[in-house]
Amino acid sequence: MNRALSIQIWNGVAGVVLAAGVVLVAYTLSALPNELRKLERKTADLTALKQLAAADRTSRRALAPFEALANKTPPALAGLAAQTLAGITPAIRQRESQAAANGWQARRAEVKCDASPATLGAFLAAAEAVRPPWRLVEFDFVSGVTAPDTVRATLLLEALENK
Amino acid sequence: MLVRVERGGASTTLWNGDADVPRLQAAVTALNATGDRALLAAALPATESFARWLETPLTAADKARKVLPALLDVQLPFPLETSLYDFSDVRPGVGGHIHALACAARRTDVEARLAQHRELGLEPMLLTHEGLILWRQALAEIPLLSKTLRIVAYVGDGRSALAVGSGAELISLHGIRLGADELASADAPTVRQWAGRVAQLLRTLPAAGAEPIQWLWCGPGADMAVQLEAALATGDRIRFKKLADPATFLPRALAQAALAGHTAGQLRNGDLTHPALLAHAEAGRRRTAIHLLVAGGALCALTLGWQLWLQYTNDRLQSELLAQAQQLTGSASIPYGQELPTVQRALKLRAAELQPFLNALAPGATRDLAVLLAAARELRLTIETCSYSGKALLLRGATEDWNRCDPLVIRLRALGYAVELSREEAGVDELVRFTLKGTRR
Repeated sequence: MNRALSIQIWNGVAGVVLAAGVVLVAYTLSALPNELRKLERKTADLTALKQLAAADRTSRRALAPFEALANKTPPALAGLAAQTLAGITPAIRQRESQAAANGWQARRAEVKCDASPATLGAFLAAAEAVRPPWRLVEFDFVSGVTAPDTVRATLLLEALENK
Repeated sequence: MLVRVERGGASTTLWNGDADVPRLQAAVTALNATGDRALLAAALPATESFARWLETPLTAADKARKVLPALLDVQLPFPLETSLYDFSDVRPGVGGHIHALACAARRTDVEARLAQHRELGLEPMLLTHEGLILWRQALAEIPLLSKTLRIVAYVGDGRSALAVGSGAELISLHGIRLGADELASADAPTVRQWAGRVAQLLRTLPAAGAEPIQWLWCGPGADMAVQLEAALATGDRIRFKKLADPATFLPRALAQAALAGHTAGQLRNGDLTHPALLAHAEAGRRRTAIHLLVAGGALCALTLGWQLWLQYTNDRLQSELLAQAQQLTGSASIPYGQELPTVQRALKLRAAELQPFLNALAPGATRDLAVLLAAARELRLTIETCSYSGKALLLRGATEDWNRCDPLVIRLRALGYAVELSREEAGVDELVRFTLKGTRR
């Protein structure tokens, strides 16, 4: 092969490779915004999923102490009242229940009575101390309805239960 | 004459054209031993070559270059097809029209000159019109003020060459077939013939202003300057001067042009081009091709690398997304691109089921109620009504002092409530009634 032809072939190959490089660069640059958007979206999705996973782990951890209880039914409020309200018999009414995970349900009960704030405090402390605990969700007090040192209390308590 | 010139400018006469054949052979052997590192340049006598300024009617250099051969053909005393030629100084002249200096020679003369060199064992890379080389070297050694006329006169073996110019501009190149040998023969008609030929030339120069002309002698015959100056009888208009080392001036000029890469007036061209120059040009073209190939390859490699990296990153993110989604939902098949919504739907249901457990572990209202009642007792506040539902607390009460409920506000804020307190002026019972609204933040 003569030298001139050889150089022509080299030039031809170089031209083709260079043109291919330029075309590739042009194509890559044109597709770049779309590709980067795709990566950005996936990265954001992954970050969101990791946050969801962390929140899910936290929620699942909340379940553990309840699952570990030997007794999964809260004591009856009437019994607690009898122990702490000293002769006062509150009106107790069962309210709505809400299904929770793993067969548990959140049970609510309304307690109405006239008592001194201190007595009510003792009742509520006892209710929170039992396992599973009764937790005060809502309350309504009106003072001095029956006596100056008493309040008329309406208490809404919630406890988790798994029968 | 064979003169060696180094880049620094030092010159050595290797052979002075005499009959010392061993000296010439030693010089040629030494020269050939350097391979292509030594540039060998030779001159084509002005009497065997032709030089003329050509003016085109065009203002575009690339177009002008195309018409230059046709313009040269008209001027040449021999057919263009049988000649070798070169155009240099292609640039705009008066009125922006492109002009160029054309150098040409009969092909047969160039071939004969090359054969003559080969007989001596020399293969010059450059074979240039001697007048052009003389003019440039004279300018380099003795710069000339603008508009001053200069004649560089080379008296060589068997011929003389004259380069005429003004300032830095070359005007014309001339050859006379009378050289040092003829002029040294004390033959008065020969000198007169030489002087007559020069006088013809001087008459063509602009006489207006009658500025002095600078005449520079060089060449082996420069020793005859006095005799020739007398024959010219030009009076005071011409100021004669001898160039330094006049005998080696032309070889030095050729060497300097070769070292500087000046190829103007190169008449060893076309198929007569020196093989080393052809190889150099070919190597240059090959190098250019390789550079282009490497650049193209690098572009391709970088772009493909970038594409691969993008693809890899995309795949890695996708597999992480899928794994995370499968772990959170417990489902093996999740539609592509729907990982987040699928997980959100699945976890929304589970979050609702787990929320009571989170609530059960959070501080209940009992703590807030205990704080409230303790503060009321301590601050001697009378609570008339108090209700709490989820996040909102509403408390109505009375106190003996306008400022006494402020500490209660502070304690509720500490529990995380945004508190709004309103008070009424004391009534007939002298009690200040207040309403406190708290919202858990």
